[in-house]
Amino acid sequence: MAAEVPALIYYIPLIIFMIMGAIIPIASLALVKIIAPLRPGRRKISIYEGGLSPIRDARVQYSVQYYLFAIVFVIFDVEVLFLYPWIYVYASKFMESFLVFGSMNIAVFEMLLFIIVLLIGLVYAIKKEALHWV
Amino acid sequence: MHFMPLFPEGLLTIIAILIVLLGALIKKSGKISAYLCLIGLILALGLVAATAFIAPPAIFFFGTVSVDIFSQFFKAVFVIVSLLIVIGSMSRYMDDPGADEFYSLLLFATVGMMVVASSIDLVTLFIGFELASLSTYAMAAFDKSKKNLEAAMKYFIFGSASSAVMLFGFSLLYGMAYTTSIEGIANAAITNFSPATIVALVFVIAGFAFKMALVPFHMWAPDTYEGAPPLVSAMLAAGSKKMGFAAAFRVILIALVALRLEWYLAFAILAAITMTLGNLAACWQNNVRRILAYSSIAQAGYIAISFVVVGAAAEMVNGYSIAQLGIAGGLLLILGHALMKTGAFIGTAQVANMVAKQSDVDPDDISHYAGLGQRAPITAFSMLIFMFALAGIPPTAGYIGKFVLFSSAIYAGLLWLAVLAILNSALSLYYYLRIVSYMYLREPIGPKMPESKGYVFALIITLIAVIWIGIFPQAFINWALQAAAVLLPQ
Amino acid sequence: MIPVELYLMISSIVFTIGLYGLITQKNGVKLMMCIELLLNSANINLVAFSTYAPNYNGQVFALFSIALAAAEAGIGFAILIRLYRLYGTIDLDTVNAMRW
Repeated sequence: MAAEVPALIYYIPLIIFMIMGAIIPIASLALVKIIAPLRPGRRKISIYEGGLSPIRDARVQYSVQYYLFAIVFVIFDVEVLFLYPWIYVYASKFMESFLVFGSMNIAVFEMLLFIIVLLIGLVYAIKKEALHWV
Repeated sequence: MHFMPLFPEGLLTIIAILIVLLGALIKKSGKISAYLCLIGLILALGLVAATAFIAPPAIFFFGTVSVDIFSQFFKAVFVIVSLLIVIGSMSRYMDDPGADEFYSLLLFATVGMMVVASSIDLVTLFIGFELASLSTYAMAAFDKSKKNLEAAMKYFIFGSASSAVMLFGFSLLYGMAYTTSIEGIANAAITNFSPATIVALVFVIAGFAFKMALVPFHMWAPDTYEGAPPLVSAMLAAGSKKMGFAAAFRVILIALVALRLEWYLAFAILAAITMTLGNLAACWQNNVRRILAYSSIAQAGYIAISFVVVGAAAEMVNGYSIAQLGIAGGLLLILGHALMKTGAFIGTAQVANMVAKQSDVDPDDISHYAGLGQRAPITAFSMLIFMFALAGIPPTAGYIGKFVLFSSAIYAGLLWLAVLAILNSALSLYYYLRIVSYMYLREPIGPKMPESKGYVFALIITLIAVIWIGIFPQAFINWALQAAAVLLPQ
Repeated sequence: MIPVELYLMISSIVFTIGLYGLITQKNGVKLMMCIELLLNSANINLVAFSTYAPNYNGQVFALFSIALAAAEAGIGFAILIRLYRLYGTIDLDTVNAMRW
């Protein structure tokens, strides 16, 4: 009868993995330091402008208002995503068994609900003057 | 009516949207939204109570949402916490220009937590989780002071990174089982086990542990609880954290109890470190809300014992298995801790409210609590009871939860863990009694102050509930045991 | 058909980049970009697995997580704008009044 394998055996790959995981980043960072030491000079850190000396700051300041618009836009933009799976479900044979008000597919009703909730969000944004450009 | 068990969530969602609409259309809608919120939460509590012992579980939406005794237990906790916060907020946020936003965010967070409690599918779980998290991120920055924003930013970065890690774990679970239903994942884990399951498990546990503030992932909790508005801290400690436990009970127990690996030992070490570190760190804090934050971390450590018990135990006691007893103890401690922590944070809100009028120093510093017993007798007395309850002194809600949980740990053969937990409880008495001694043994630093009505009302209700559970625990123990039986049928 | 290992490899690389950035960066906007990377690595996984799966659950899950990521970015930017107005910077190392 073979001796039972100690449970520790199973962890040897893990230990090797952890040791290698510790060595590799340190080694690569050290290699970078050796091959390409960092010696910044005034010329080296200046911005490349095709030979001309750079004028003005590279950054352009946006108004904070811009970010507010961006936030509102991103949210409404992404919600349109849900229309795609909805179309897939709407056209399927499965939904034909769920009819309300005689012939209306219940998927239409559900999507109306979703869009009404989105509209409430839009009304809220307009009323709270989030879309008011100054 | 077929959809009757889902009415609480539906009602709260409709009221939240209504409050948003009112806030957009009416100027000064703070009062209306506060009362709407209050009425909605009371109705929702009634509806949850009406289905408290629902059996068999009602499954909705193609097996993604299950309303059962376990989910109703957690929903009751969440609704009660929100209700207390709304009552407390009536003297603070009702006339605030952004009151409608506060109340709608509060309701959305509550709905998110309730969805998590009853979801049996990873997609629903994740959506509920995010709904609750996103609302609380915004709430943490509500007063817009520097401290608020720092707290909110830390909470946001840690919270969203953790939910991303959790989502990565979910994606691996889906790849392993090709289904998102938790039961399907459990079956797949039994039939064809693969190492990917363990990797996924690590990611999912890390994601949940952030929300539960277990120790390697607890860094955000003290800063956020200290910096956020006091009522929001109450929401985070009592609601959001318990949501993490609800999700962990659902996913880890159902999907991964099948594995029966050594994972319960990992949880035992995690629980032991969490409670010890939380209690030790709380001992040398001077900010009361920071003390409460660390004590909340320690309590999370106690509750995590129930995961360990489920992994370790297989025998029966009095018709219930030890595993069920462990879960029931965890649930009771969750209920008790939610009440006690809400009360304690509302107490700090009261004190901060009194101090803020005088100076611009840190309003939560323990020196402001000197002589509170004479300056604000009702607040001080309730704080006294909450401190004793948090330490686990009978007859309070904290004692019952700890008693059931620790005895289940002893039955399960985890004597060392139970002894460690009891020693920790004794240690925690030091910092709780420190607050009490400041309140009652020091000379008052100012004259008697008027106490805000809303806070006092919320404090008294919490006080009655905490003592009620301590004196008549039988109904609650029974409820928790039945909830545990839903989760782990033997 | 591309083997699933390749998808897993790219998603784990994206995940690691996100995690690395989260640990090293201190600019608020960069941190949010790193969080998006983490979420998107999970999305790659979900969509890749769902091409092998007998159902579309993975793709639906990915759609939901994209929408939630947008909402999360909205909340995060709102907090960040407030932070910028109060502190005058988005370097989160300076936002550090509370510790221990």
